[in-house]
Amino acid sequence: MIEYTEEELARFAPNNEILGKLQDARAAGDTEAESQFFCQLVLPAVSLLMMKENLGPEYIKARGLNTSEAERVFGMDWLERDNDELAKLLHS
Amino acid sequence: MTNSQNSFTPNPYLEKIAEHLAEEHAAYTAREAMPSAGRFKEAQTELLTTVKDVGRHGDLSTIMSVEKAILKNELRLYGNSEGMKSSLGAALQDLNQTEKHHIIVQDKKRYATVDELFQRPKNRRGGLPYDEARQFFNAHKTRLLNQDRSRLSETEKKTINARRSNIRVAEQAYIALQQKALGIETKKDQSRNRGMSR
Repeated sequence: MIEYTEEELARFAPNNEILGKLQDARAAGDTEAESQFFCQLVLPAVSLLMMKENLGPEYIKARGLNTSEAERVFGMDWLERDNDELAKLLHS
Repeated sequence: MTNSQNSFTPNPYLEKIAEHLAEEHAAYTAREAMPSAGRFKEAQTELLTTVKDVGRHGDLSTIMSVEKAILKNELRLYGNSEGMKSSLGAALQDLNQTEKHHIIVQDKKRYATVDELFQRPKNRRGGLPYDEARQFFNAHKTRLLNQDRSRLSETEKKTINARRSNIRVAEQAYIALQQKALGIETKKDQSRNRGMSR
């Protein structure tokens, strides 16, 4: 399990409020809003890598996700780099 | 929709799974960012420290009582599947049996009977009866090692590791009691006796 530092956790703090809105939108059946709130989530690098691996880099670009954490952890060129190489950076 | 967009349209199930996995981990980070998460970690760290202390300073009875308390608590809090309930239930039953052995092994006459009944080579380890207590120590070490593969925090895994090492301490203490009950001299005894006769 990845254990985050306090500094990292501070970056994820907005997720609580965003998830509240996302899950409310889902409960209300508003898929459009749900999708938009998903894009606002500060997705952890490990999750972004998983999405890139399964859905492809083009998908990541087109979906308009918040990729700030992947850029911070992996570097700006993460969408062009090898997934297994990126995975090694997660635990370093 | 243009052709270029079509070219990376993913499998809708995979897309949903990926988004839910990401949402789950984002929710985890949100929860971890709350002050109560820090309190939770602190409580777990304190538990780890005390479990380690038990191994360093505790005797066999204490180690067994502590392990029983942890197992019972685990069963009540997390016994949410038949597999887990039966595994923890079996561990508790074996632990109770081990506590009975602990009483008997301290009585030479009574333990002589156990020794007599455990004669086949497969029921002996290092010349001593591989009784239900010894079997429990081994099975429980394996059980705890298997838990190491589950989804737990670093501190929780360290606590399981400390419990495992406590069981090893209890096992050694029990072996010493077996030797004493059966009048088997250990190397330590031998050197002590030699020293005394000089």
